[in-house]
Amino acid sequence: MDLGSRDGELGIYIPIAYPNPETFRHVLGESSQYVDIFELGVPSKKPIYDGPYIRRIHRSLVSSGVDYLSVARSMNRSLDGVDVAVLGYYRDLLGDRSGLFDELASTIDSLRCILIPDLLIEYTDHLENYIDKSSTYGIETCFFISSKFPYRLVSGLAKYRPYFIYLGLQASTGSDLPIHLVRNIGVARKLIGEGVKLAIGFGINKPEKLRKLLASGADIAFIGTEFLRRLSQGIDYALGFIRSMYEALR
Amino acid sequence: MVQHSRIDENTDIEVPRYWYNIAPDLPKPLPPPIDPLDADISLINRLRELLPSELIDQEFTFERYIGIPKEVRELYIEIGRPTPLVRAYKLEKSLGTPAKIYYKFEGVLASGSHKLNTAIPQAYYSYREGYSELVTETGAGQWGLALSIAGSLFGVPSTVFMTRSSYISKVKRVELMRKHGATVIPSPSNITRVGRGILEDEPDHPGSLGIAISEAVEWVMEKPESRRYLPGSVMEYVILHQTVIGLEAIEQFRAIGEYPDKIIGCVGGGSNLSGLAYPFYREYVEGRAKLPEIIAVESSLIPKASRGEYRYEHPDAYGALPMIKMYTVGRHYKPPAIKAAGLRFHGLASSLSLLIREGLVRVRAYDPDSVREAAELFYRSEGVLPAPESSHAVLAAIDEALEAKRRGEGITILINLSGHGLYDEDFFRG
Repeated sequence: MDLGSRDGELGIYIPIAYPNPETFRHVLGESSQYVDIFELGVPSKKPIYDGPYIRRIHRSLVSSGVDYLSVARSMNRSLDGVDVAVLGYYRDLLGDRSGLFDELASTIDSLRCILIPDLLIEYTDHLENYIDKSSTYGIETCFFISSKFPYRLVSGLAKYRPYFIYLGLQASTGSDLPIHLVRNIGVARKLIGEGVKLAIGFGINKPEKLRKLLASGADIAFIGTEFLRRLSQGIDYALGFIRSMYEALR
Repeated sequence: MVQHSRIDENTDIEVPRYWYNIAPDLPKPLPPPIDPLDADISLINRLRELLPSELIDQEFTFERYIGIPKEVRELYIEIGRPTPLVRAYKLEKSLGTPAKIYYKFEGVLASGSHKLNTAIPQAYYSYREGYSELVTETGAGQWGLALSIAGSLFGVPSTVFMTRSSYISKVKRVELMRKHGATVIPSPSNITRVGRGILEDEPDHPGSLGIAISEAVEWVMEKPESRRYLPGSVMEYVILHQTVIGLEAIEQFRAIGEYPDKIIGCVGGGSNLSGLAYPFYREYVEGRAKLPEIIAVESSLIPKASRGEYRYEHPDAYGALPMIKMYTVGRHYKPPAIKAAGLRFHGLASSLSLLIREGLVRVRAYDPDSVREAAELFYRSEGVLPAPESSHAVLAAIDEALEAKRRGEGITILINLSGHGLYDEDFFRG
């Protein structure tokens, strides 16, 4: 798919099977013309770094008992070849009794990497395990960082040649605190160097903000809470929003 | 020949031009603040309505150094910075120890404690952003007094919720806060929903910092367009401001060709120890010096670091603020009404907690009677009366100096004498 000459890449975040399996697949299919990458969330009982809005979605998916693995298996056609990064918390994906990492890694055709936001914060000692697992399935790595990460750790991530390094711009998803985001993106870019894609997310909700942040040194921007809010009000409303974000980058 | 305690080279050092943010140098990432799992609204987003924007930005900055605004730096100089680094010769002599004991004396600042180091920038940013009332909590009154002074320097009055036990016992500080135009309210109070709820169940409740924070937050939320909540510890940006202490101390040690083997400070929320020790940690990370042994001293009656858990908890008693990962005895812990009221807090700053967790900071807990004896010894030896909180650090220094004597080691100890105890007559009465 040719997305034309643009100032950065666009990704959307949507939890697997949200709001229901059928609509989920439909939304993937319809939005694939506008996005470069889907960030698909694994429903979790404890999505601790998410804000209340996304948490409610996780709670509803978990309590609905939907079989999201089978939804993941059935969505390949809807992806239309668009790259996928799965996002899930450590315990859900690599916890003692979870084989979910393996299941998802072997299920999704266009999977590029599995992003685990708490890996380097709470499970630093499991980094090598994550890298080995990714390698086993022939997928790349990707890492979540925040402005509270040590420089040495961030700089060192480039050696794993990750698909991207994701800088969470806010303290949680959906937050909109008055933080000098352009400065923080600049610091992250300097630390990871030019050879690795810098992804950003959390609180990106307007085309002009998207443009400004990507122009400040990021390569990929993920839209989550705002897209999901609009999706709850109608598919066309959400798709129109994504189209406007897409056009902002042309 | 009389040995002069004060180090002459102090006059040659400058007040720092930047603050140091430790997050880029920590051994592990600092866990982010979170909302409670069952929250319907974002407490993180609520910070917009509570704190000045500039302070929120400082809390989440990715930069290692943050420039100190010219106006703040000038006020730092006016209120007594740089503070002296003093060698406690007479205390050393009375202990008969080969150890050298230095103290960074923050008690010389205009409010009598280190709290002015952050009160000034917090009041400055609030004033610059157009707010007309500064709201906070205080334990012993050191923070409340510092903020009252800083607010009055910018013409912005303060409202201070003071733990009831201290409101009764620290009369002088209440008076001084009022002289600076502050409204001082004993907490729990009957002007907030939180306070009324507590007083209904327990009319004589002594209060706690956790409760006073909840009341202050509620007070701001009633009028967020004109009020800002300004905390005296725990937040990372508070520690950031306090790093002027350590940055100065490094220069002062450099001037005399010494370097500390041990750095000691008392911990309520953790800002005075962190403010002194973090710049020394930076020297270590950058390969310029060894890492001194850092010792956090708490009250054995509020044993958050020595007996608490490392987990997410709210910094306030009623869960109005986002949860942070820290060592804590839990926000519902009812601390006894000790005279070192600045230590009556249930948790510890996130970065300091992480350093304790990683074994880079050791923890010690002392009972009030031993602390008072140490304070009296220090007073008799040095002629300086340490604040009850700071006296915890004094006792740890004495223990370390006696251990050095036993081992015959000529070590160098640095303590943060974070405040004087001239307004704490209740503590010295026993």
